[in-house]
Amino acid sequence: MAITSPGKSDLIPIMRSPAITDHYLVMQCRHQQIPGTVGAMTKRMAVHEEGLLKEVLCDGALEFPGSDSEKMEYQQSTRPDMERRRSSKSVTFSRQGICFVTSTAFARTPLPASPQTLSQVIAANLTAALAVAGAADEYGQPRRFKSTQLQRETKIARSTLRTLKTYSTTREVNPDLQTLNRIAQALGIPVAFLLFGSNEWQALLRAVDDMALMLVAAEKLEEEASLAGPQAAVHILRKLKVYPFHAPSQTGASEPQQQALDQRNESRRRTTLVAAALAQAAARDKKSHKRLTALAASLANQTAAC
Amino acid sequence: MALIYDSDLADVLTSADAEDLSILADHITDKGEGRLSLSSDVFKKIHAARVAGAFSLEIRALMAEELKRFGGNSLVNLFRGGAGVVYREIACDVADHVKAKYPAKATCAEVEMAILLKVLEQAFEQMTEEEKKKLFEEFGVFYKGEGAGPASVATLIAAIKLSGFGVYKLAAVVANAVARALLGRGLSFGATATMMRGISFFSGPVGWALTAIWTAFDLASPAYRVTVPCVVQIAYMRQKRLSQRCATCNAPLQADAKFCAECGARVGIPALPAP
Repeated sequence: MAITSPGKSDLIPIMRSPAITDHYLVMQCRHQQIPGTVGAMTKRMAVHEEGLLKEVLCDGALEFPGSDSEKMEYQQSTRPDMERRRSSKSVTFSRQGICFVTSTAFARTPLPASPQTLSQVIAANLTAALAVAGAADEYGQPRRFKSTQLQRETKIARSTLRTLKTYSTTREVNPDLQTLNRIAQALGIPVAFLLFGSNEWQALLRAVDDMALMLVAAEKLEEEASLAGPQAAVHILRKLKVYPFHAPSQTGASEPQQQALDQRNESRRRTTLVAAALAQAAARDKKSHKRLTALAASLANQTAAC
Repeated sequence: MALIYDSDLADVLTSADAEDLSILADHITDKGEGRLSLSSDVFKKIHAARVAGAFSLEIRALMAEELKRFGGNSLVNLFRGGAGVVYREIACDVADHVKAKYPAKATCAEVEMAILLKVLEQAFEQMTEEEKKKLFEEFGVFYKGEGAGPASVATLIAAIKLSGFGVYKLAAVVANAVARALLGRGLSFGATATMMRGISFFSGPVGWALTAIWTAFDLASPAYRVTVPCVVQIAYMRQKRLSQRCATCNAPLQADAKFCAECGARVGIPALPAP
């Protein structure tokens, strides 16, 4: 079995290559990130294992003139073993005899699909950010921002950085605001992004989707009355009939049902007022005031839902 | 003459009864109160048709277009030039949000069915033991009681799927409850009114399930306030169309049949009284 290592410019999109014959099984290596793995680790593991490094960095044709049983043996030998190995290759043969190798690197502690605690969110965000925040390589691909470099730039102790990056299910870190702010500045992002988890990003996305409707409501409200004060954001949600929640018509509500409904409405009202108070404080003129009020209403509508 | 270009909507809307369309019109226009995202011209036309109880082909096409545009709002329509999306995409989006499971190549009716079952599942959690028992009875299934747990819902779902009329009845239960919850009035069942007599009993739990669904499944966007009830109503209209029976011999009819394949009676003409 020999791996040919063509240069980057020689790479052919494997699935569309007409040159594939039964004699040549094509190896496709993919940077596949399974949930819970860290992008940065993939490359590091690849560096540790030279064979894997070649496979990861180049898509090459793999001559595999073996029988079916040999193919099976090769498949077995590359089965992921999370206990002993920190990286694995999963090998599958397509009906056309094409061999797909997916290189996967596992972090020491596999991360759950979505981080649950704030410490986990910070660890996941920091690891993901550092994986791409370095200078570009000769092919223009993002490179890792080394911890040592981050340490130099932020003057934060390496042990602190390590603690922040460590994904723990048992321990809660409690970084001070200055530490987070220095890291965010070194990475060129608002400090809030370091605290954003999956729910927050999803809510932001949905809020942006709804902005067109929120702006229509804001304009209508501006024509009728005024957009002054955080209460305007609540009025926007009323105009769009997404607040308050009503009990179904013609059906009696039991006491717990009514209480739950009241609680939900109260929570939505407060979230909207707070979001609007924060957003409106950033307004520079009448136009941005309107847009920020609409954004606050949209965000509150989605945030209170998630 | 305006045409409905979406094949998943064309048949359903073209052949729908005025009563069913008036419910759909109310969902779109929010009981005739209007919506911000609905232009006043379109609102006036749809509302006038609803008040007159006569829906021309042009109005039906307009309603289809509006629904697709509302769907577009929840599916980032900005990049599509505001042209709306196909109805199947809207139904799939709602199904995805309520975590209803359906095969990748499912037909529109199957996607709608998955949504209805999910709503029923949610409603089941809100029901009292008496309501659960009654629901099972409604679909001709024996309710084993509190201890049966999720298995009992699975039994009910299997029974509904197996029976053609069960699917129609499920659609009627959900659509009726949604209409009552949001519009304050239920569906009118015409010829099948006797068979549907008991279904209003479930309006409460299904209505509450709907209230829970808005927040529990990321359906906070204003557009979903239109698309979810409309998809439920269209699901009902589709099942009604698919479950038509001959008034003379009670044999099932093909969707577009003008005559009964069994007895040859003309569809839509009531059976003559026995001499």
